Amino acid sequence: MPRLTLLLMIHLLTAAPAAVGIQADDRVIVNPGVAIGAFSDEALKDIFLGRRTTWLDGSRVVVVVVLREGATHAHLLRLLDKNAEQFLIGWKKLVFTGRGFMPDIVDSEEALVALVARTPGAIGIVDGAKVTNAVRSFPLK
Amino acid sequence: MSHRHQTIPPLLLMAAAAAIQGADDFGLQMHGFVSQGYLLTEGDNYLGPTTGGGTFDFNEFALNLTATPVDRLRLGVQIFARSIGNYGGDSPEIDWAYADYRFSETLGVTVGRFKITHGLYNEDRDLDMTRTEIFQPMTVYSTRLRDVYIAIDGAQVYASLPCASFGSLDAVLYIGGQSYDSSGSVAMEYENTGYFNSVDSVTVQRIIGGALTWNSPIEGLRARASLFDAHHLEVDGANDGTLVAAGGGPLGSNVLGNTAITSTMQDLWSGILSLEYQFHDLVVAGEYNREYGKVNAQNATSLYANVPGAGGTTTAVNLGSAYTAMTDYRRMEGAYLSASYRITQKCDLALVRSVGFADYQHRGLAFTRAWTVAARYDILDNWLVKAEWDFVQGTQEIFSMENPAGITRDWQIFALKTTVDF
Repeated sequence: MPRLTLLLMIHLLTAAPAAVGIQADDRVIVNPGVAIGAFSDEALKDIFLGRRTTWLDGSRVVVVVVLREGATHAHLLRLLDKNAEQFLIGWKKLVFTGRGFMPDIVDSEEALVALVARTPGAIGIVDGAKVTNAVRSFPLK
Repeated sequence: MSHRHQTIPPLLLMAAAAAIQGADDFGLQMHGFVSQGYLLTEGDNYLGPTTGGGTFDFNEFALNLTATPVDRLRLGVQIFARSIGNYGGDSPEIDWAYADYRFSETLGVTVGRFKITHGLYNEDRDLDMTRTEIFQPMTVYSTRLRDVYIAIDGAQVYASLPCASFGSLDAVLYIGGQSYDSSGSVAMEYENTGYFNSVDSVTVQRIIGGALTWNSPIEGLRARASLFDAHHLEVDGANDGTLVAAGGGPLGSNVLGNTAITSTMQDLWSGILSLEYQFHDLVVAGEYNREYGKVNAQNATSLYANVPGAGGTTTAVNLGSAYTAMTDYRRMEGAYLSASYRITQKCDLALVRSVGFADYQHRGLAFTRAWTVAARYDILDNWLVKAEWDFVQGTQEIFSMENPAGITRDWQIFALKTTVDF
């Protein structure tokens, strides 16, 4: 029993930063060329888990993420109900079985905004304060 | 060389992918991975010479290219090589190479060589980075049978159907064929029976199958039913153990010569029922598998008689052939229950209980009862190390030809492995 308690404590300690860092004003951003009016939670899950690979016009969905770093990624993981490793493993399954493309991984949210702005079909999640006029943005629940 | 290595369409796909290299608009991506392991067994050799000092002959390599040259169309190819004891020999092969077209978000078609959706994790057999264990549960995903189930050349249709508050359904149907290596794992499976001394060819007329997945409204809970049929699986070979060279026997004696064998399984059926639940850092999965096939073997045995030869010797004279037939059944059954838990941000632990029987109508014969304990540590996002210990009771997975000194019922596996991907 003490071992179980220890495992639980380790788990809570490691999970805590992700839980407390979530920001309410995170936004979904897309390239201006993406013709979409809104996102449901299910649609976002399908996109960020690699299950949805094309937009309605048939063009490719390009997922952009800041891996591991920051509260925004934690927000995304909470939405997907995945931990960071499960998120990454899911994408690697798609890539190495030939069923999908790996997300584009950037170092910062500023870089994410810039990449989404210049990449047709790109989508990402950032802190609302980082959003610029170069992208379209939507609220994230 | 097997036909698997000579397939032309995948090479055309590779050429197409290479031609568009550098064109960012096409979303060209290149990824790969490298694995190196160490495998030690105690009690019995498993997959190769693994007792004593163990073996480092345990590795995998893969390199793939994918691109979207036009909207809705995805092209991809992956080259893969592995060596695990007697299997693979690091011979590069085309793992998958396909064209995938999505008519909509809910309907698509794949043509070429693609991985088979069979059970929850068949497509992930070679992908260490996707699980905690080194070996998938051997009673459902036997390493020895990887080549039978891993991929086919053909076409598949896949569809998704939202079911409102009941979640959603994913369906896939595939049809195609396969070219087996005459010295590969299927051939070894037959040679291990002792009925064949050598296998000349392994062919299958057609493979057809599908899977239905229910993504339940409960987050993380999914169930799948999978069915696979390999139609007219034929193995041609020989048992030449009784061949006596000309003059090799006493005067007047009749002796048996080569026996040419054609073994035909009209249909090899495999069905898997699967259930998986992922709750935060815990993943629990259970699967049940049955295989059924009726085997008809035709034997043509050459008969010889030794007659007086020149200078007081004897000479073997061919008297013609005798034909015999026999029927056997493949009635394998397997199941497992696994739990994997991420105890820290970098470390997973897994516990697996597996049970299997070589013949579900005679469960007292060859069987497997195994406990598996495994740990995984992610040094980086793309670099992991793993350790695994298996305690196995039963000889279902043990080949007598790999254990000429005899087989023990209780045996153990200790494995280490590291994988880097990019």
